[in-house]
Amino acid sequence: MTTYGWTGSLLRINLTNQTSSIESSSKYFSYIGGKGMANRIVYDEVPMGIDPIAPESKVVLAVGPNTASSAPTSGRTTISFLSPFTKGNAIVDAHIGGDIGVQVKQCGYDAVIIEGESAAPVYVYVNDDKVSFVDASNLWGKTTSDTTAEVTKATQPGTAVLSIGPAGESLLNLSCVITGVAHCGGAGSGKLFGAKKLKALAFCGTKAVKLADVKAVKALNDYVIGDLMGSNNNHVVPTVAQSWSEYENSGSRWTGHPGMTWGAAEGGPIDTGESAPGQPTLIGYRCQKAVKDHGAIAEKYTVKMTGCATCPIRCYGGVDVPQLEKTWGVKGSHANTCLGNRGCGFNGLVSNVADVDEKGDGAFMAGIYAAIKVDDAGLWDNYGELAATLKYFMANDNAYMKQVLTEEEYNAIDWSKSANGDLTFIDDIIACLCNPNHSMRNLAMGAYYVDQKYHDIVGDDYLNSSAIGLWGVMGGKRHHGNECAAQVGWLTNTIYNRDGMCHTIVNITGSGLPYEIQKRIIEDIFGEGALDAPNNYTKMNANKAKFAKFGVVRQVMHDSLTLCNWVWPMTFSPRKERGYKGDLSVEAQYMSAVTGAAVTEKELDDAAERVIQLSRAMTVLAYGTNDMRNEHDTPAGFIVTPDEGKPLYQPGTNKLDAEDVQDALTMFYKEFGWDEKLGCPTRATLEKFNLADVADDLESKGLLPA
Amino acid sequence: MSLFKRIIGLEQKVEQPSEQPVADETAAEALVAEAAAPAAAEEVTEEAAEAENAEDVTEEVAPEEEAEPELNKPLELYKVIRKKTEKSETVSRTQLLFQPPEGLEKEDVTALLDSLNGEERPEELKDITFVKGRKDVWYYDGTIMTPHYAELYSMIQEKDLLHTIASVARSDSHLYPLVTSFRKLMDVPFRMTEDELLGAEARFMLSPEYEDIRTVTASNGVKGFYSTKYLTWAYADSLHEWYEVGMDENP
Ligand code: SF4
Repeated sequence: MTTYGWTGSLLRINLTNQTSSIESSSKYFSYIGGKGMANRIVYDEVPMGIDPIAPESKVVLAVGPNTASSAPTSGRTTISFLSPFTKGNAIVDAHIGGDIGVQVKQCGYDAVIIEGESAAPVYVYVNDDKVSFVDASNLWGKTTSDTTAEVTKATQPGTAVLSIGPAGESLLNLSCVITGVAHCGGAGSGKLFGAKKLKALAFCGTKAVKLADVKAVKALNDYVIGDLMGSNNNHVVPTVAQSWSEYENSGSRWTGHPGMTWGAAEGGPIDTGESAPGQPTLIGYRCQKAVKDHGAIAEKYTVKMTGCATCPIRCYGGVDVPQLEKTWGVKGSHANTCLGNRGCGFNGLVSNVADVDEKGDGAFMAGIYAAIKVDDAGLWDNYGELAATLKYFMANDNAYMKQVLTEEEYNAIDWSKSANGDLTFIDDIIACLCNPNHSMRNLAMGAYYVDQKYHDIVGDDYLNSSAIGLWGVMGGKRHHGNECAAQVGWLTNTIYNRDGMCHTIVNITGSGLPYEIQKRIIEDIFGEGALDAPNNYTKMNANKAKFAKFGVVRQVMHDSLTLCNWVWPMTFSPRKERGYKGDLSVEAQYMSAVTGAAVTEKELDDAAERVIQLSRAMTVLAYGTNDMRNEHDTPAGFIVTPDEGKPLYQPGTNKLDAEDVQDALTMFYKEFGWDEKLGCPTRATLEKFNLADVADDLESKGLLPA
Repeated sequence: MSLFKRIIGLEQKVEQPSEQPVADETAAEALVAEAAAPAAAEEVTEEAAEAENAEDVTEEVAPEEEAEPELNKPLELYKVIRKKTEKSETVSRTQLLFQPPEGLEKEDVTALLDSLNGEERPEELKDITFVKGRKDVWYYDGTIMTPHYAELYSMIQEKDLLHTIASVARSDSHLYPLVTSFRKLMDVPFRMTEDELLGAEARFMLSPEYEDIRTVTASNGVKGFYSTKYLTWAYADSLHEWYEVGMDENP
């Protein structure tokens, strides 16, 4: 029987024996794909609570039924494994774009399981059914960009390469994998690759992906691109007034407009112009992300926007900065997005960088320089936490740093470079972090472990400070937390064993639309009081809990299908004719058109919720306690500490009320059918989601609530 | 009248888009096509057809009997306004009277523009709408430009700096809500200079008409205007800090 959407196969790669096998993936279809499939495989095959780099630990890459289907933004991949950097070493996902997902799928796989450990550095080249284990001794120690170049050269044209750098090789907790010299999958994935001596994975596929209803997929693509999609984060309002627009909002990522160009485009500057809704060929000009991330100075260095396979939005700002080579000896071609565009905050380690050609360009050069160096090393930032931690320990003339480093280590670093604008300070710090014997590495363990190790020095302040900015003391960085729809955003963060990966809510609050329009649409769906005005929130209510649940359910759905949650869901539309209302049924329509299974919106939501139920149970197993409220969902202190002169529940603050946070958790737990005191799944809920085996597992370990 | 329109203080008359189904909008399509490619469009207009017939006749009859095709004055006026709209501009009544479209007299323009207020408006001008500014009336094609943009653009053309800043700040404070950053006002379509903005800040302090307009400064040093009618200082401060600094640090 033909399988549509899914390939029906998974590839198992054993690095110990250097063998591979192909197995059926069909038993995982009910987990959708991507994150859902990868999480279930980890649950089935990796004991919870083990050391993430123990020999029996595994890494699972998975794509979804939508991947390579042509659906806009479907080129995403989830990599699941045990967290090396947050409390409990529970399940985490790294999310990665580029072309790797499409190539995995075209090789014929829904998932790739990497198990065992190689005795020597290796890279694995997958060309459809053929799997080659290639000696990577000559690549060990090389940067991610050099590795990508060499593996690309040694394999077929069109191969997508995923590699680690020196950070992963040296088993640094905060390390990542990178594909396409731009797209990073973090959460410590580099460390797990490094422990397995896996320098790179390369995929080149030639197989077709079968779609159940090609015409329906094409019609959906046209509908989404023409009527529903705005810009990155589905911002549906441009930054500056355009002749077709009713609104403008400088916070939007719909940055392109007449007079703004890709200034360094081949053949001369290209004006990004007006790109009103309904003009599919212009949609790629909307997101001028280099300017968004770096400011106006980036315009003249922008070659083009780039991004993941099948994405019309293209949120990666590709820049070419020849001055970097002249001044700092670094080839200044780079593409990345958001924090990655500024070296994950490493640019902030150096101040007073001298301008090169014009006022202010020194800071811009620092951003690109840091981004290149951090990406080359395969460092991961935990959403800016690593740079924040380094700065925290460097404050007050390195007061804490002196207590972390040995005297010899401390004296070997020229700290004056930091204040004197010498960008090579960034290289010096990265060298320390990637040196397996250097004490500075302890600051890249992840905030939870940094606190554990240095609590005597930093006391309670570090983990709870706004300078580090965690959503919770388990070590996850706040990521669209309480600053985004107050309790709603913060609640979404608690679902993760890392920084909050949910963009569903910020895509709404950051859409650029006036609050009253957002409120009308959101209250239509979730009821009164679901969405407060920005920085002007009210006490927790049940509709906010529903809204928060929707946020994470859709994020998990997107990473399972796959679709990019940095754009989806289509809650809003840029079209005034629609009253700016989007369409939340599109994911289910894709699922139906791609796989041939008639899936309703509710059914797909339930399937995604099932994945959350599973991963919460996995977290309980990893923690060895079911008291998630107190062991996992505890906010960092700064989130519940009012700002001076800005009282709670008054316009002007997004700080939460500690008591209200507990009420919020209770309502959130209720929405998920969890024990309302503990925040863990109950047998009844797990059985409702056909996870009785997981309930049995929890029960056998005494982890089901009474 | 929308919230924005009420706040921004520009009285305007917006013609509702035709309620005819799209398929029936052949006249508009023909006009648009003609504006884009006049030569092609002329072939299908009645006047052009008559002109062609006239030309045919001309070959057979004496040249002195050649008839000039009658100028479609509403269409000429439409073309001028449409062309401006396509360039994301509105055009003022003063400009149209001062420089009437070719073949039209000032009186023609006056009559045609006045007709937009009544029921006698020519079919050719059905897409034309206008906003009333403080100093002039501004015309545009409402099928491709929003009233919001037309208001902003027209206000900028009238060069009443304080009125423009105050109108935008009031609207932003009420609508989104957000503080109107100096960066917004220095960008397109406003293109104000920092000196102009600092000057305006000082003049707002002295003017009873604008006593609600105040500034707030983010930690990156960027200032913004807000209206105390809609935002307290604490609220404005938090919103502006988020837009200027927080958003960048939490992308
Ligand atoms: S929006 Fe950005 S991250 Fe998402 S698919 Fe497109 S390029 Fe990739």
